[in-house]
Amino acid sequence: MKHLFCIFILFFCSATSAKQIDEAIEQGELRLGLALGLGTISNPLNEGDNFPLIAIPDIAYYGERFYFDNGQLGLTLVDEKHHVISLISELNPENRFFVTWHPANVFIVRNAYTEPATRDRISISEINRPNWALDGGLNYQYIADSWRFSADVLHDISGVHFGHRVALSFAKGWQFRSGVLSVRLGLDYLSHKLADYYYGIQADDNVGQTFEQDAAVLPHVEVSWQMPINERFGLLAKIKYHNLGSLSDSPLFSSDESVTIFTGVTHVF
Amino acid sequence: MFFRYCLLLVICALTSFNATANKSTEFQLTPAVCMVQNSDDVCQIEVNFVWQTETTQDVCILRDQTPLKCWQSATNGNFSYKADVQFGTVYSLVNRKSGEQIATAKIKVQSSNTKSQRRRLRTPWSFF
Repeated sequence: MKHLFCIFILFFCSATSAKQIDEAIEQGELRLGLALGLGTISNPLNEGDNFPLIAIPDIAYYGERFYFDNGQLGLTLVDEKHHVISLISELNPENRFFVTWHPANVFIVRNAYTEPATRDRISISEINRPNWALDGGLNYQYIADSWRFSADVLHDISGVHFGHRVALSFAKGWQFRSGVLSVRLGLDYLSHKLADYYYGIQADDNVGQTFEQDAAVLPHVEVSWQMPINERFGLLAKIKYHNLGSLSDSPLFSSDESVTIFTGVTHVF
Repeated sequence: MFFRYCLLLVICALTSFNATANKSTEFQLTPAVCMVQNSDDVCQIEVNFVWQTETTQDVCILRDQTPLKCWQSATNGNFSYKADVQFGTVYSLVNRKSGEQIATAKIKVQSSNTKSQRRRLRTPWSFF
């Protein structure tokens, strides 16, 4: 939490003069971008591998109402100056640390190194792997000149975990001569059913114990810096800190945080 | 590791900021985009200008042909004002004496009813 406090103080209280840039996109045109560089995603699960991050795609397509944007499918119902309401659907991201073929892991190379398990922890290789879940729900955004608030309310529509989640975020950006600095503060709520499906230990896991994971609240913060070089190329650096809150009580976890870092060159095709 | 990288990120941004500050002629305004309901609506926003030139000059910022702010014997400056911006509004940095146009910039006014463009609802490069 002290990390979050540091970031908050650093960026929200000091820089006040610059403005956020609206990200506009042409309707009917596919935006395809690829960032190549170096980075990593730390895996908080016991015996879970860290993921070397070598590329980040940026894929977006917007129609008049329909859109696909970086893994999220949406249908915009209300699109006013400040208020946007959309029906959305996306894969549940909680599966990303269990498998390598989640869309969020397509561009990631698995590291062969694994840390040894401790006695009071259970390895993810010992339990039944969770299934894919498709969540669907509503997204509301309030878009101001210099900041944006977003709220998602999503429920499992694939009959996998039968739970729901709520994601709140507040984003603000500052434009400097050298580029755009963006900060996003977020809070995710995972319901009991969802959290227990992914991070509980069930009797059929056959590991000699069970564990019921309760609902959890996960704060996170992301800081990114983008510097355009020309129309197609740019530089990107980002860091995302995810606190796992009470989830880390589960025997499946060996850490109470996950950190994503990346630095690279972006290219828009 | 988190803090080290955080520090690196900030240093990179600040270093780059200083490096680009030494570049030659610049004339930038923010925000770059302003959203309105209809295409003929006026966009009321606070516009921030930042400029710099290679040599000391007497310069003015003009909105279309109307001066907004002038400087004497300066190589850089910044300026903010509450503007009513419409589609096609052009700002320019000109030399007061010669009338030479040093640079121009404009704010992209987008109409949410035109539907030729939309605001992205997710952050770019947010796959991870």
